[in-house]
Amino acid sequence: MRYQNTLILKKAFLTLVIALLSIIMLFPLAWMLSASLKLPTKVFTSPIEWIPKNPQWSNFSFVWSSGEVPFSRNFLNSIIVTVISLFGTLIVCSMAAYAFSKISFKGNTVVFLLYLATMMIPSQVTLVPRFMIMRWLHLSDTLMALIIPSVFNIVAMFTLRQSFNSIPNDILESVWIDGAGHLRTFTSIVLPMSGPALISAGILAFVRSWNDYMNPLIFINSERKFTATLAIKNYLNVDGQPRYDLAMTASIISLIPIIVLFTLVQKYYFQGIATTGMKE
Amino acid sequence: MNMTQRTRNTIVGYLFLTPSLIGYVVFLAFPIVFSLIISFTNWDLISGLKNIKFVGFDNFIKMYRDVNVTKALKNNIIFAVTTVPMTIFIALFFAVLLNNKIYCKRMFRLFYFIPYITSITAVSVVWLAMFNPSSGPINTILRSIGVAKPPAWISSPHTALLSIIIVSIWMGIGFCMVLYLAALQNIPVSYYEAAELDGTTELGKFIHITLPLLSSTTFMLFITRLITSFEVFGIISVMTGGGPVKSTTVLVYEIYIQSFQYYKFGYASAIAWLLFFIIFTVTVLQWVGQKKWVHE
Repeated sequence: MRYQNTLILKKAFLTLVIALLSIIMLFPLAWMLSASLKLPTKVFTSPIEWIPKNPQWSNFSFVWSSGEVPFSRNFLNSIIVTVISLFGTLIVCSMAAYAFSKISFKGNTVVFLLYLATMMIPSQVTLVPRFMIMRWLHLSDTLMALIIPSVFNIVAMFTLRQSFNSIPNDILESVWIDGAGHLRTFTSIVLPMSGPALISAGILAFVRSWNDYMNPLIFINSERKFTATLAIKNYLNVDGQPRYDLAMTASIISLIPIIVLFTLVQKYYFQGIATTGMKE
Repeated sequence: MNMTQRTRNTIVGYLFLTPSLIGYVVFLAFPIVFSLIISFTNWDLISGLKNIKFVGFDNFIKMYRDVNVTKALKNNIIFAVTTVPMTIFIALFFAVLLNNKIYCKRMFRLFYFIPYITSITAVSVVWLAMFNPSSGPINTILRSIGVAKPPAWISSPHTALLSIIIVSIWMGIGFCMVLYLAALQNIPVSYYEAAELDGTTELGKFIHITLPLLSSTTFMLFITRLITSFEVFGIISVMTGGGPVKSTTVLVYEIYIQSFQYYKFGYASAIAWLLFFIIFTVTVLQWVGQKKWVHE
């Protein structure tokens, strides 16, 4: 009994320590939430007014629907880019992963190594050529400029290949003997058996697209086509003035999909980055 | 159908690879070769491809004398050698804490992780406000506890880089922590039980069991975080624009400026290859060095 009490005490104490530390970690985000509900004149007060006296819920409707380009437009752009990239990545990368993992053909290893080798090269090296290619393909300043390149995700391909490798070939061979081809085994055996791997690769792709900053910055010019991530910056200069209240509101809105996604599927994501997805 | 199984497999294999091969060639392989070639030219967008001229190693020699590039490189190195160890150290501390029996473990894990999944612009705008020298929350708190002259943070060339480092550490902790947590769960409890029988202290257990068994994770984190820290760009682009007086400029920021403000595509690509060379060297050195301290 005495021993058990000490255990509970220890558990409570450690929880308290962790809670205190998480206050430091969450401080900027709590401030963000608080500022998003304030009047511009009340954003910076001393001492900090954590719970606004007159919460300005209208900040949200203002950011969402007012202005030359309402934030809802940018938010929708982000949804379009992210969702198409997500499914594109899963289709393209799982097909490649299947070829690498389950089909033995001439050049299999060579092509795989060529893919892997490019992981060492920072994306900034290819920045200028990609900018030119987008111009030549007339994709500059379109959402397609963000979607198409993001679909070729070597990390996702690598993760999925690892997962497909763990499916024993015997299962597939029994189907091949029945005369079924690779397309059948791919769609009706390998994909259904790889649910968790597909989900974790999908979440990684989602976060990457949603939070991407450099590509929209370079490939998108017109504000109507900005993604949410890029558009947040606009509120730092509203008629020459930084509007922190609105910037925080837009930030909170852009965080919602990510937080919702994580509370739903955090298990898969943490498995995903803990196993193979070392690089963001 | 006289095709052998082998030929058929090759055709099917490449059919499965076609979509990714197109992407690979158009958005990776070709741009890499292209970038390498133009780094030896004077190409800029304004005079166009017609007037492109090979200039040998001129861009690389110019880089060596360019104060902006050397400043960026210096900042990059300071940034990397402070951010990476601090992030990993704090993350390890948090992971070890979270690995105990505590209440609401999953909630706290998500709390620590949120900064990492928050977009770079949201992070930057909130920290811009945090660091506001006259009325930002950090200096408000510092003044209320009696600091008469709190630092000017991103507004001063002396503290701007430090501010960027603080934000990056704050952002990176969650990611490293999650990897450490996963690795901690793989350490068999029996190791600790055996140590307890020998009367080892908590600290002894940490130094002799936990640390060595986490060394391969630490190694992976060092490599990936170092690469990431040499590629830092977003926070700097939103928060400081490389200033004040170039005190926070980094290589990627210079690449960006040279490419899309001055349109000096040749020179920008040369800087990008310098970045590759640094990342490559650092990674190779770490692989060589890992034998000395990574426990398998």
